Amino acid sequence: MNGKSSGAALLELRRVTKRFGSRLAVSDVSFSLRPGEIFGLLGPNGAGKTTLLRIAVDLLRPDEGAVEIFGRAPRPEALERMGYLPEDRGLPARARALNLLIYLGELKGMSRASAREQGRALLGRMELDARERSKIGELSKGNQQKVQMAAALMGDPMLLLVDEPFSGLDPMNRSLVVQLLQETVAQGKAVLISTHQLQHVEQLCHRMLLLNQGSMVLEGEVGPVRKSYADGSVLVRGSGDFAALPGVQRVALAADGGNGELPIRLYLKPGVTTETILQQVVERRLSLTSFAPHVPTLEEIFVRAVGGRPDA
Amino acid sequence: MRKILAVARYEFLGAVTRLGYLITLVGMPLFVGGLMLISSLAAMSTVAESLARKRTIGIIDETGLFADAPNALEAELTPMPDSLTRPSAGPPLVRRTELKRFRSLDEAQTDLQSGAVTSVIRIPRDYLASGSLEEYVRGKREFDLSAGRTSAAGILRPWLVCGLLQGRVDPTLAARVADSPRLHRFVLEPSGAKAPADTLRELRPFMVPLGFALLLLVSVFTSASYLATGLAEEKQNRALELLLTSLTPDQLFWGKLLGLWAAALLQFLLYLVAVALPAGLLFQSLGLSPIQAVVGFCYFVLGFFFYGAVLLTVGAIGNTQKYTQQLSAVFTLAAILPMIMITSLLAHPAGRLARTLTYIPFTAPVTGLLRYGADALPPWEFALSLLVLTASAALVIRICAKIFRVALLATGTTPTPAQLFRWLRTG
Repeated sequence: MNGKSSGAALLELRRVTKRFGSRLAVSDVSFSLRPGEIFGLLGPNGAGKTTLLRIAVDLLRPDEGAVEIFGRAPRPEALERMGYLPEDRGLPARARALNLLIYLGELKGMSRASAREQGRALLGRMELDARERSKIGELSKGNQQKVQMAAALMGDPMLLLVDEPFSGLDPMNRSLVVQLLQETVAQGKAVLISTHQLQHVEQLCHRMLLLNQGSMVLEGEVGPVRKSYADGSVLVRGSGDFAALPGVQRVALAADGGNGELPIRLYLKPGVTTETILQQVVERRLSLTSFAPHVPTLEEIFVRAVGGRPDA
Repeated sequence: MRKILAVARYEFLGAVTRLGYLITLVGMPLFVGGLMLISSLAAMSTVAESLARKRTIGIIDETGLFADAPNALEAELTPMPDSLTRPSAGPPLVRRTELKRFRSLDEAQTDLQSGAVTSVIRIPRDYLASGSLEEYVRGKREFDLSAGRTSAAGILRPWLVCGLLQGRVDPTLAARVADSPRLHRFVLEPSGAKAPADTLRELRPFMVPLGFALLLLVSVFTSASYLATGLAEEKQNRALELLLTSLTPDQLFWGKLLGLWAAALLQFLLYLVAVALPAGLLFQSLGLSPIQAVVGFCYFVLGFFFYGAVLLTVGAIGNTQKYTQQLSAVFTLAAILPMIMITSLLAHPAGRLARTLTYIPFTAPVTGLLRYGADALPPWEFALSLLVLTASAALVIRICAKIFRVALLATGTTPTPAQLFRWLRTG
């Protein structure tokens, strides 16, 4: 996570409600997006994430509540300064990659020449410069997704709304897109990202909103939200009888931390602090290679808050 | 306007570089021309063969009046045209017919069923009083393209006349009475000049407007069907969502309509230049005139906007390409209705049916063109028909743009008429 958000909101949704017939898709949702910020929109399928994105880009009008883009109600000039990556790969199969970007650039108000220049630059950035004459239908799914990402970035938008941007990408290309999004916010722009892939939200997002069945469940900065869900347990790596420590209620093996050695999770007795446990470890001369309070992952929080896995 | 033009250019280039468009552009005139040439040559050859073939007709003469009449007869026929430009060249055709006499139908039965005689003519006892003959044929026969010129009654007429008058009047007079009059047709121009009538000249009221109508239908429906299926595809794969974040549904609607209209216009003009103009220059008697081109162009422009708007909405409503194609077919059928009724329309170009179809927007372009060619569309009717078409196109565009606006983002089930009405109110 990098960048620092500040200034007036580029996008603000206030108490937005949307119904499709008798079905309530979004209920009383509010959030805002500031310059230099990546905002994560999370939730299980059918939570209302895509509906919110469509409302944000003025494809749908809310039944109640208000939307402001750049401080005003949505209007065509404001929409030109927004980039949108829909969830489904919605590019015409017969179109050639560069021609399509030029066309989309023109629709964003660019001249043909500057749209061509920017289209080429973006395809180069996506490592697709050799495929600029290729038809979309001839590209792999991953490359189609990259062209779609380039399409969203045409016109140099101040506000970028991306729905599942990592879908169909291999790890190398995921890193490329992460890097692009980070560069975008570093320029003082804002990104709204809707995804199931929670590790990217942890890695990228400054703030997040968790939706379930159209309603807000959690909202706030990613770090404090994770800390608020901490249960006081401690993750340690080392050797010795950690279960015998006086302050420990029980121990469990935690998920792999990545270095091969599985950490042990120590659940503390009520009133015992991490400092006390650390002191007990030192006093009993247990071997220790790492010691850190456990902060739950967003996936754990998701499961606890929603009662299911993110892709459920 | 800039965005509308950007969409129009994109759609135009997308349409004219499609393989299907290019195949239609080049292939359609070749296909239609080739088909017409082959079928007319085949028909001419078959008719000529059929006429020249020796026939045998069975005769049951119950009157005894024709006992001395010859048992064979020959007739010289007007030659078949070699082509549309040479209507009466080539050597004359001679039709030879032999007659085989039978005493009764029972006796003739075997020859008739075996095909030894093509038909049997019974001349009853009261023939002189009644003038009636009876012809007997097999239940199943080959279809004969020359049937109109080879009916037994037609062939036998000179034989009957000669048989009746033989020995009673001068043979030359009998031959003249038996022979059908040979009519030579001329066209008398208002200037007083006269010229032999030819096939092309007679076909002119039919061919030129029919050609224009075909051009119009092919151009309009090639492009308009791309419009509808392309939109259904964009809707299905959600490409429209990306577009609609940068422009309004109205801008998209007009951009697509103009782009595809330009593609249709290009096709229309290329057909005109590549087919109609050379044909007009080559066959001057077709009498192609700039006014005809203007009339055709007026109907083309308004017809495209009318059908384009309708089919664009069909594309917006449809959630699958299959559904869109099925729904488009209904409107295509409405447009070709005048072609289906062409015989009635050309027989009575100023009749009630023709006039009614001239004012129905779906059938107006083709009917108007056919009536104009038949000199049965007075200027006031032409103007009124264009006015109706313009008003209908404007109304349809307005209604369709409303439905289009709402329908674009509606996915899932196909809308019901009630839902369409709601979209119309909310769009």
